[in-house]
Amino acid sequence: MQLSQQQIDYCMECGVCTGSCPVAMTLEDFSPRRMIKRTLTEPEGDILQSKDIWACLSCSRCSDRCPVEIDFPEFIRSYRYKARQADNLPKLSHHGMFHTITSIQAKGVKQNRIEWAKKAGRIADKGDIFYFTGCIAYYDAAFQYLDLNMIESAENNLRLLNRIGIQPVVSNDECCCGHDAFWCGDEDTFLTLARKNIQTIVAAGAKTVVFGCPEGYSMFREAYTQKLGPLPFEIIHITEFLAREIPKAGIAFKNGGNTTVTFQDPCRLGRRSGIYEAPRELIALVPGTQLAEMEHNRENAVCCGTTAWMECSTCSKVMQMQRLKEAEAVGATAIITACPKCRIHLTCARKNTDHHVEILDLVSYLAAHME
Amino acid sequence: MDKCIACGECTKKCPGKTGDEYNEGLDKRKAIYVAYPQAVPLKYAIDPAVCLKLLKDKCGTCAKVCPTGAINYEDKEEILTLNVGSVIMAAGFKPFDPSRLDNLQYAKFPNVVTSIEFERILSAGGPTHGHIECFPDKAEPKKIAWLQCVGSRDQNKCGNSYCSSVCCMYAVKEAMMAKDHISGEFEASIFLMDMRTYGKDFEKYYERAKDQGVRFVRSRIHTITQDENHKLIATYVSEDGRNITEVFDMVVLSVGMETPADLAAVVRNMGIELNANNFVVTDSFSPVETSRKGFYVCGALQEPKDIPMAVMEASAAACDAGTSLSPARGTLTRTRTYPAETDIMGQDPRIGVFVCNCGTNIGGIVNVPDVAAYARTLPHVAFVEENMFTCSQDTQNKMKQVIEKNGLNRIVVAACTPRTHEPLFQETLKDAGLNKYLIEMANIRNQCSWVHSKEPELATAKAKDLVRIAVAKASLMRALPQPTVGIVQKGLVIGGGVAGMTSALGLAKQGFFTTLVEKEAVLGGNALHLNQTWKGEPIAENVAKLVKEVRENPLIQVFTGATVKDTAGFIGNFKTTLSVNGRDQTIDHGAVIIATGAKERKPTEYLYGEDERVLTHLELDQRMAKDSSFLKTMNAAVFIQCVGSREPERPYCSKVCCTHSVKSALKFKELNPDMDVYVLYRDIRTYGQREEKYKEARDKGVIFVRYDLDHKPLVQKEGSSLAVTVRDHVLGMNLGLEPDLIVLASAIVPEDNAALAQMFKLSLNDDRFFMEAHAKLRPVDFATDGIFLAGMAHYPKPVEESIAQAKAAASRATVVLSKETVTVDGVVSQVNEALCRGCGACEDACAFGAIAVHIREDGVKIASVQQALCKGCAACSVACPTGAAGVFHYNNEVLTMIETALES
Repeated sequence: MQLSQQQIDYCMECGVCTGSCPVAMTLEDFSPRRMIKRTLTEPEGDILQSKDIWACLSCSRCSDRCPVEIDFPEFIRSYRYKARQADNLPKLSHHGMFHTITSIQAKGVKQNRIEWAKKAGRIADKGDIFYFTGCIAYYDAAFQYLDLNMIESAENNLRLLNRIGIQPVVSNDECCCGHDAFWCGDEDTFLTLARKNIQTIVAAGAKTVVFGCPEGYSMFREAYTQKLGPLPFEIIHITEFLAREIPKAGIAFKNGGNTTVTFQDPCRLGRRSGIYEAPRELIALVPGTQLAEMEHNRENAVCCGTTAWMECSTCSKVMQMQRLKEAEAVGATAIITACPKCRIHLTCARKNTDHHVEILDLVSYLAAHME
Repeated sequence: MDKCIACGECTKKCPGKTGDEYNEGLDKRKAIYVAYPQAVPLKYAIDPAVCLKLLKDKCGTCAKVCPTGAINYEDKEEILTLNVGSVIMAAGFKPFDPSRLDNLQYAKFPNVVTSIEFERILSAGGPTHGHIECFPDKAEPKKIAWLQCVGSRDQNKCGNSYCSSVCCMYAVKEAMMAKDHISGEFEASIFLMDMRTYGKDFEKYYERAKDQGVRFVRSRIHTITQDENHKLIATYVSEDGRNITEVFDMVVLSVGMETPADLAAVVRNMGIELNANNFVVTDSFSPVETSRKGFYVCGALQEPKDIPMAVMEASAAACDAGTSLSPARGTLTRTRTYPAETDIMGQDPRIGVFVCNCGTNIGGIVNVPDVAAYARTLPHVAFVEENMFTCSQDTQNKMKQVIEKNGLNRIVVAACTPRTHEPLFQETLKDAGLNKYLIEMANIRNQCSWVHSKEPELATAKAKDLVRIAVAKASLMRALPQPTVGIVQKGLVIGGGVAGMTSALGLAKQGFFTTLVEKEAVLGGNALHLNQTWKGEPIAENVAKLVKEVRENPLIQVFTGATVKDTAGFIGNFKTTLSVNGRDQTIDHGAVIIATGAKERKPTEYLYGEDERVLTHLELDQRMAKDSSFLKTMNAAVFIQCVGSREPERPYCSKVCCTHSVKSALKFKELNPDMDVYVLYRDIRTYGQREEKYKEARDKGVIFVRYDLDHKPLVQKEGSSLAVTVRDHVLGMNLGLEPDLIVLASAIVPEDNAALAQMFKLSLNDDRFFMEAHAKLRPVDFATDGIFLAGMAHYPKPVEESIAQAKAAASRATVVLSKETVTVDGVVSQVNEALCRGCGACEDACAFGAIAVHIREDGVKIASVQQALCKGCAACSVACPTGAAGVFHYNNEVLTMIETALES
């Protein structure tokens, strides 16, 4: 077969991908370089039956570093699509609950997604600004066992938006952004969800969509535009939005009491969207709070261990423990992150260990210190 | 600036300090400074950003201490307007700045250094005097890693997708030097993708490095972290796919080359076209011409390149620039006139001794009045004087008067080194009507006051010794003749390929009659069988143009079917006999350019010669030139690299084959996109911007599989089809390919150069290519004057490099031919015929072909010296068993000096 995909043919065999891969550090024989080479000579070969193609976290450390810009995560994703057809399926975490929720949403279901918002602040049916909450409400229900009050971060996002003077649209018709389906190679589900979301946002008359979750933001930014063309509205992640608006709104923060914190760069926000500074600017708004960078930060940050609710393994745990240790090594008492999944995964990892570093949501940290 | 004598008094007292740019900021220099020790002219300059006088109108110390009043605080930048006919751009490059790559932590970790910093660290004149030290305890490193391709071959993080051409070689060199500098346990590791040692004798050096334990790891390290002891931690993937974490004491980043943005803007503003990489655009057939007429380019501004290539291009640019200026040659020169030389034959020696204080450099240690008083007591000394600075202009004027007034006929200057100052005093002697060889210098600074600064009394005693020795020698010196020899202003070019034709045109266009000799019946050489350059220029058309130009130039006489039969003579005066289609023809010429080329070797493996589907590069090009439609029906083709190159039998890289295969593979894909094209390689060596072709080939789906020498591809016949088996090192398994065509990148081998080398007394290297005078700095010269080298006779190279070298050879030959006479140096060897036994030891010892045994009319064998070729090195004198051969002023004179030294 004639190979035309530039991304795999470009390989110069330098090994940066495998040398950078957090999965390859633990999972022996997992090698992005070898997978690329193998498909180069045997495009339809045994990769389609391999378990390895589900091990990739699409954390994009490899693609960010590749000297010839091979998009390994995209390569993997396209093969996952083919693997599904060949009945090679991933091992789903949480008994596949989240994938089921996603497919139910794709089929169409009446949801109550705004009950919390009515209690927490002021929202609108129509308006310029749409607050895309993501799956946080489902996580809230699912992760009670970790003592994570996940909905709190959505409430705080809304509180801050209100405080700035914005009464955003929060919609019952919003559905999953399709991130997990997309990265699991389930392109049909993804496309259905994407079309629905665009329709909902357009119907609300929104000109700008503010995302509380980096996954939703990166999906709209990359996959939506690639598959469905330019979006009829602007998109912005909550961290960038707040970093821009809070100083204008003159919101004051009280002293954080000489606390040292660190920031976990979510893969979708950092490497995939290039947003590194906005969350750090927001942390700096709280007086007394010292930001200590972990050894691996920004482009070099390490993933929280799993993506798309699948293949949670020893490998994930090794990565998560590394992050907790790195945070403690720089004297941080809390890891602040801007992604609900990072928060869930790192909190889960910390359970039953001697690590006491807190795992906090960025906007909730701000809200807690708001005057 | 004219007044500065570089005594260094100013810099000693200057209070201002800043980072020394020459040592990459690793140590400090003063506000008044010399940029680097080798600076020409050797003059001090003031850094206005640091000087207190210029910044705050304070200090002014340098003006106070300067003995010659050379300090001028009012000096301003001047704008000079020059009227010129040609401009040569040689503005060079900037090393890539890795501080913008945060993954390598160059800016943060003290033990991560750039390769250029490491060069300074290795240098005895560097910040640590050649000691390699790690932060913070200054311990010698036990493990150093070199990271290749930092700022090169990376379109993602730095945008430089080209290869910087020189880093592989310099990393190997630095690793080898580091091994020499570090005592005890040491491991040097080089992390690379492809080892690009494609230059002349480079591959052998790489092999030697491997033998001496330098470790080469095929992996790119992405991130460096640091532990609490400042040790550096790197994680990388090994060839067999394991992730390895290793700790190093020091990491050297092999940084690539870039055109600085401000330079690119200036060049663009001058109307010169730059490409997307910010390198000047040139054509393969006019490799130093820019897009603007009259503007030429050489060096790394055109593309990253190493020193020999930059030197070749520099001379090539001089050739092109000189061509348009040749009608004006000599019109702006002025000739200095001197008084007639006094004949001192038969005069008793009357020696003048000038003892220099060199400010406080000598006078501060050595008791100069004491030395001068001592000099007055020495035999034949007629005049002695002390000077503050003997080299200053007023002293020169005075010296001239003193010589005339006192009838001095030999001069001794007790000061510094003849290397820098002897020519100055020789000029003064000529002005005073003395033969310029009647001066002797005693180095009482570098070899006395500087090294014995803590023992002034002993230094004074030694200065006296040195003066006594110099005076003893001076009393024996005589006026040496400097004969002038007429030059036959004609050139001979041997070899009618692209290089030879270009050289001949280069000479003819500058007005020199040139004979071009080609052994075949037609001009053109290898280029007749090649289709396109890597940039896509058609070769046949351009070669036809070149042939036509040569044929039509009235100053070029072409002999085809001709070989060189015999030659005699020396620079400016050669007489060469050619055999032209069997008939002898003798020509006179002043310079020779050897451009005899090389050829593609016929392979002896991979079914070559047994199956017609197995071709060499040249055969493929010829077949495609006839009709390339045969490719359209093919399913698969395989290129095999390094066929006969880089093997024990032929341990050099043939340089052109990687690019040629990549270019051909692209052509295959263009004609038949569905075809599977494989390139089986050992290292892809698409150096410089050829890397973009490699990238394009991968883009178009050409598959590259690396093999190593221990697992060469296996080519077999299975039934009627060809079967190729190759082991892929990443997958660790064999791949089976069934191509319709196999193209072998066969080695380039030299022609049989032995006879020609023998005739012109030239050397060949181990691989039988001609050996240049200096591998780096004189890549087109031979050790023998008047003979030059161009094209593949020197080493395999692509057409653009052959043309550059050919133009360079023409330019170098022009230096000889443009003069009507050549003045021969006086300090040369001569043979005392009475003592010569004709044994020929001198002839064997001479590196320059200057001394040879011939049979006198009376039948006696006698050696004689061709003064014009002699460099005065005295190798013959050493070799001569009877003392017949000796160099003027370095014969009995030296023995007398030794005897005098022992007297005291």
